[in-house]
Amino acid sequence: MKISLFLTFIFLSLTSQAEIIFDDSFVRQRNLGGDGTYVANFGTTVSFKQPVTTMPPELQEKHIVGDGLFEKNFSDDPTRSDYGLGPAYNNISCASCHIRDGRGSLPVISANNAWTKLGQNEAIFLRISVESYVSKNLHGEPTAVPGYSTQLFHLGSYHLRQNSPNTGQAEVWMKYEYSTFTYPDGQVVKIKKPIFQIRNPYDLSTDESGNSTSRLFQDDVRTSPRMTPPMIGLGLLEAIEQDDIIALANRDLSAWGVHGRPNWVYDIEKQKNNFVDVYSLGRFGLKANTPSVLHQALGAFRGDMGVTNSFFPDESIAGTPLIEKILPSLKKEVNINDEDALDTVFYSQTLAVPSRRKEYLEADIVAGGKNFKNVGCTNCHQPEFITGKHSIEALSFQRIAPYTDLLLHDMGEGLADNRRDFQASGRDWKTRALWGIGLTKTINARGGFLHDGRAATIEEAILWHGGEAQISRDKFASLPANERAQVIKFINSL
Amino acid sequence: MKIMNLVLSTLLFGAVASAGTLEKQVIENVSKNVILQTYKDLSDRSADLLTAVKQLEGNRTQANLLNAQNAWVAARAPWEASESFLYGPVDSLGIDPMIDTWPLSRIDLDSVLHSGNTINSDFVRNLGVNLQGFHTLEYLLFGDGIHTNTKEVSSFTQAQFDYLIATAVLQAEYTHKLHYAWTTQADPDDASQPGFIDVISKPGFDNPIYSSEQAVMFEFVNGILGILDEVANGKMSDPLGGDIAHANVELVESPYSWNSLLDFEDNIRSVYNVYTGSYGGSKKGPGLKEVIAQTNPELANRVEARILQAMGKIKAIAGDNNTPFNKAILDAQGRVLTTEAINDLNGLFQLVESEVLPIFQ
Repeated sequence: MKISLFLTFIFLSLTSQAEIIFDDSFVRQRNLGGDGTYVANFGTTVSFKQPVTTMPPELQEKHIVGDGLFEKNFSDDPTRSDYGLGPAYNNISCASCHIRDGRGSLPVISANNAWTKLGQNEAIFLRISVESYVSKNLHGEPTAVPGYSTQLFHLGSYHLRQNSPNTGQAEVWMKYEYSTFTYPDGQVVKIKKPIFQIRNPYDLSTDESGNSTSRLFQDDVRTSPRMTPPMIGLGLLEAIEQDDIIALANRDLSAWGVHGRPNWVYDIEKQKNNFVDVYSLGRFGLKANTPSVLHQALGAFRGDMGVTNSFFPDESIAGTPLIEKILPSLKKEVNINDEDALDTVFYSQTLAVPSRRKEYLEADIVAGGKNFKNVGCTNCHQPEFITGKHSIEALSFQRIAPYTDLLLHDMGEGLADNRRDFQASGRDWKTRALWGIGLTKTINARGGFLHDGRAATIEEAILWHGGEAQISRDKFASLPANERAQVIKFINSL
Repeated sequence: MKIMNLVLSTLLFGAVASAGTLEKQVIENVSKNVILQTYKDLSDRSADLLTAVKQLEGNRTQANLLNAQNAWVAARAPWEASESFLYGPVDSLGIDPMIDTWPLSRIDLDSVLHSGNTINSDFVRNLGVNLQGFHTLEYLLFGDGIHTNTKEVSSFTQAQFDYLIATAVLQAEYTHKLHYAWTTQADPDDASQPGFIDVISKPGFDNPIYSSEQAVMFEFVNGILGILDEVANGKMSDPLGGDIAHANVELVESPYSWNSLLDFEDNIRSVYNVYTGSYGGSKKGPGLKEVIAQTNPELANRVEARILQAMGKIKAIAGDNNTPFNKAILDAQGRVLTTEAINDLNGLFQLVESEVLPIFQ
């Protein structure tokens, strides 16, 4: 099977650029996550919480241990055994953001769309950095905001800021900006996006003119919201051969305006193993800015919760003035041992992809799948891979349908965050996997789509597509209403 | 046999007026007469708790403290009896962590109380989830729970009263929101959305959450499995430890009020309520039991008996001396009884997983 995929790429390189890439057999594929797919006729709130079914019992047990750690609430009380939280953080457990291992949701906004402060237990935070052309000329890694880092921690331990209890580096406030989209046939859809304000930063001061100032308020600071993505199938994405992803980048889809590019990003495992070149292909994170589940998960432990580990041993606000006062009260050793850290990584690698529901062959859904291809969605939402060898045998050599090419694409001004992340520009985002997407609302009724959770529905998410996806979006919009509904139904059937 | 049972069920549960399959009747009855009623009690009793703590603050007597403590226990019961259905708005609106995060950060709470800050509900709202909710209220009302589960009203500081009222205000607000989300509008950001009861009781492929009646029934069963596992292998096993030297009382939930065993029992009562379709001794329609009974009456009765047995095993841990759970795990006999209860719950889990769940898959 692997060879046939390879041959397909050779064949494609010889064919007309605008031709459809695959036949439409993917429309009838039910078990999107290979042999270890969790097969069910319908979705429930536990559909994303199932282990890869083909793992042996001892690995199923290991997965359950990791599940417990994923759901563990960490405490910032150094006298407790569950200590590790903070001192600055965005949430208190993995599961608090990755709700039932699915997408997070935006906070409930106050009446009349008033600015609302991000409080406890929110599934969104801001990435921050400054534009630095020195770094840009190297590998493009984001440059930390002086006195901060590359992530803004809106929560903090009680003692972190004397006059702002439980506030982290700064408060983050949010409200919506509304607009409309009008289809060629006249149908109007109301769409929205969250906009953010930073208030009460810890370094707030008054300048000579009497204005409030902070390093965060300077013009070179870039911010970008991040909504938690679902956890399913991550190990399978890790198992996709790098060459297969590069081959997709090498296709000429210029007739569609599509130019997928890989991201090359810092790899903590290579660093730890003293590689000279410490960069790898990016696969995870919304801009493909991390190379592996381990890097993503343990980086999030330290970054999102302040839970240090041997891969990321320094506190997330180390080296900033904010930590100085609280430093004596922090324990010196890392907050979780390697066994716990790696069990959590294993859990994150081995969440099964649910099968499509029993209705997947209904006529409307099949028709929608064909149009999904015809309007060009599959240019980026690549429906088929055969995985390569993975250290977890159940993930190796599986026929999977993640509906992503794991590549970066310019998604247009409407989605741009104007913040660089390694090779990803301020308009680039990684193609999101679509497997399990139809169960989003089942897992979390308020779960939102796209990088900041702005889209309440699949339709809204499609309508936000621009840039390299503009042609496909326009083709979709030009379909008759019933055919648009079929495409959405197909996506919802995944 | 199946048809006859269906007819009988329809006759028996005339209070559930809608026609349709037995599954539909179960969904309507459980969501309306079990889940919604549980949330109504939670909301009402949280309001009562707020009244009681205000009364205590206004008239600082030992009797009023006892009244407030009892109000806390009364509000706690429907919450614990809701933990076999932790889906829907309680999850999507993030209400569970706001009202029931454990552990409480005592070290931070003590700091707040000594900080001199003006303490009101807006102040507490901005603090961590580990500084509000049931366990914060519990600590303030009952004390540290080490030697006793009460305190002298004279030991309260004004800051403690202020914090108590502020937290009770938020508790009443969150539990009211939860009930409202079920009855009226599931998503506060979307006025076009109906109450969650309409969402769960009208499944179908175009329902974004439940694609079929079967999906809802599966949800009910999975919720049951979730809390059985949580009580046996989290709430009870974690503090018990492998031996007495590894017992860890700081992992016991509701340690200040010594209410832990009642919590666990109410958790299993939650299972019983969904399984039988009853609430507070009243049964207005069918539960999962009736669906199982269509094909296997013996299994239907056996599961019910095992649920009641598990509740009895938990109750038995207290022994003749009414020993609280945080003391029982440090006592040889208490550990034996706790282990028996855990094993019994795990047996029930196995039974539901292996024989009940397949009926709904």
